[in-house]
Amino acid sequence: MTMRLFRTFQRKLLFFFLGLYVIVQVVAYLAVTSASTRTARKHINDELSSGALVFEQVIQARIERFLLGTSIMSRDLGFKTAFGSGDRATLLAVMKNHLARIKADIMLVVSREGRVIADSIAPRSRPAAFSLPRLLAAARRSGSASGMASLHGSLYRLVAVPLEAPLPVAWVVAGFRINDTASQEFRTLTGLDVTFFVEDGGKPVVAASTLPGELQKALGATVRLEDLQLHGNHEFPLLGEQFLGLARDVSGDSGSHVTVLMQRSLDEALRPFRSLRNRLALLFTAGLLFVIAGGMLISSRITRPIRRLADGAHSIEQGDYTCVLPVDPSQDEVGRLSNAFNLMREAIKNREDQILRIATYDALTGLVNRSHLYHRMESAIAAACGSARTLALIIMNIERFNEVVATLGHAAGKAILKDMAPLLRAAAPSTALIARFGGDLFAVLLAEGAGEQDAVRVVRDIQNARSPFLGRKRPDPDRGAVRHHDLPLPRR
Amino acid sequence: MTGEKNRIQSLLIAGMVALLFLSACTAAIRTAVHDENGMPVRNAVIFATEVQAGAKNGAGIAGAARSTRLTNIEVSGRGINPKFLPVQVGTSVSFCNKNSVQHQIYSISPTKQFRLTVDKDTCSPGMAFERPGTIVMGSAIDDQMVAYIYVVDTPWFATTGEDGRASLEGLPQGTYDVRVWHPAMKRQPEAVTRRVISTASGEPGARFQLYLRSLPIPGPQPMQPSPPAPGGK
Repeated sequence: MTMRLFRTFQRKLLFFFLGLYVIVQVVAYLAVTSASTRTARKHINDELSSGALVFEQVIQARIERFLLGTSIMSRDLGFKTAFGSGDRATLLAVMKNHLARIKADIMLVVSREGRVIADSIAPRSRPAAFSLPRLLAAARRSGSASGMASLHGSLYRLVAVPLEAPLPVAWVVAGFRINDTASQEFRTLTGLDVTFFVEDGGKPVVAASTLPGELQKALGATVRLEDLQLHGNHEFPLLGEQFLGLARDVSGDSGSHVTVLMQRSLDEALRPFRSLRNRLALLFTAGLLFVIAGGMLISSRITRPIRRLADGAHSIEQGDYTCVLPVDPSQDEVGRLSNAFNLMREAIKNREDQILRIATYDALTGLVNRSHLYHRMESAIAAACGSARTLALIIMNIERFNEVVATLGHAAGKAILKDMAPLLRAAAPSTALIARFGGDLFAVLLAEGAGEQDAVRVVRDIQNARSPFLGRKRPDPDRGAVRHHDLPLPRR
Repeated sequence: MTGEKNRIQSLLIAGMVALLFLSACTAAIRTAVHDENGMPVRNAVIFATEVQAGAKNGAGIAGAARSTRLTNIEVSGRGINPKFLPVQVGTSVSFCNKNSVQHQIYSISPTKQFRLTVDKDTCSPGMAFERPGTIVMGSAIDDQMVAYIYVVDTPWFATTGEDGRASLEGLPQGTYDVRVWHPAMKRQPEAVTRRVISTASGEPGARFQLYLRSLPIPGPQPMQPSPPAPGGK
């Protein structure tokens, strides 16, 4: 298969160009992709770090303001008096009023012993131990405390300040609820998705998030407690999208485990790079088409003269020497090769002509030789048999040739033999084949249909012809004996 | 000045006791109060209640000992004077404002709750304290003002001086439960009782050792919000 694919030079060239192009492009693509992913990841990590910083500063500023508000509110004489009255309804009414003043969502008054005296969310509940004793302990230590914790199943940003009349008589705990809507504010500030987790039975539970419902659910199912305890950035997939996240403990003094996970989608950050990638892919495709077209063109231009050379060689093999290759005037390698091929074809043709001449003609007289005569006779006899016509063969020698040679020498013999050719040509009809049979023997093959009379006439003409060499003496007709034989022709 | 006033009070009490129990022989109980480190405790209120025949420990005495006196408390500068005031049940207290601003003195203590507006340079009408117990007072316009009134159900009480000593004078002979109160003490006064039998001849003594906590300083504290620590705790 591979061998067949790469059989031609043109294909080899094409595949080489194509392969080179694809390799270069793939390497470039991989480099761009890896660099852009790395850049996006670094960008997100920077964003996460600065987002966490902004988040912490915003939270701290909010807490301070909230603490101040709550502290001022706790010093309200009406509040103190309501507390002193011991009437829960009065106290709750004042608390409700104060909640509206500081725009908080929950307020509790907790006794110094840590029992809830009044709870704005659950006004009718029986006094019970406050669920965040560590918040109160921290407030006892440093005058006030803050942190995030879950109360009545919702997440709150809480502060605890003492209720002083004028000495501390109870704790006032106030809080802002953090739900999905409240979380959006952090998203606006940090540009990151923010999810709050509350630990419940050793598992993190999503308390509030800026993520849309599906992602939120998926995140809740994915994230483990260990992930949130990691201080560095970590990467996790959600619904087929890759996210980078940074977790921070935000429980503060509350003693519970509240963690915020700030996250950003890697795919989203990669989106600008993706359009670049698409453009690269387009460029790659266009380039590929160009390389295929150009490669085919160039390779065919390179290989066309080579193919012509191959065709020419093939025709020479067939014995056809007529094909002449066009010679490129540019004199490039292939042009020179074509030129050489033409010269070679010429030389081969000449040599073959020469060989043919040697094989067919007698070198001395220029007449056809015996082997050629036999060859012609065979075909002439076969033709004569087919048409049932006669043919004639005259065989002759030069009388007393040996004596001439003996007396006048070989040179004279040669001259006599050489002289025979024009003599015979003049005497024989033009259709006859004249051959030197060997030594001083000559033969004349008369064409089809020649009969005895024709043969005798030709013999007489030959006998009567004057040899230039023997010109001084007229040959004696009597000395030449003419015998003729009727040869039985093989029947078909 | 407070010490002087206390002395005047003591004299007055002594005089009163002398009037009431002229025929009987009187006695005195000397007391000393120290903290757990042996340092004298000042401003502790010592009070003695007579243990009557048949009555159980600390039952107190009959209503005959009710006071009808009037005592002044001054509001001046950034303080209320005296800061620690023991009074007998029934005593009326008048608040005199020496400041140039109006004051609102309040208490939300279960013993007695009130809100008094005292105009500048005036004295409020006397307010009677009918129940024994502690009253912590503050000012609505100054968070750092704090003062205590301790209402006792006995005519025999005194405040310790710099040396942590106080003596209860002019007690009739009999058996007394002597107790001490201080705003910073960790236990209730009932838990620290000394039973004393006073006779004409001797001057029995009672020593108290108090476990004190530091008194909370009222008013805005320097705020130390603990922000969510980066990277958890």
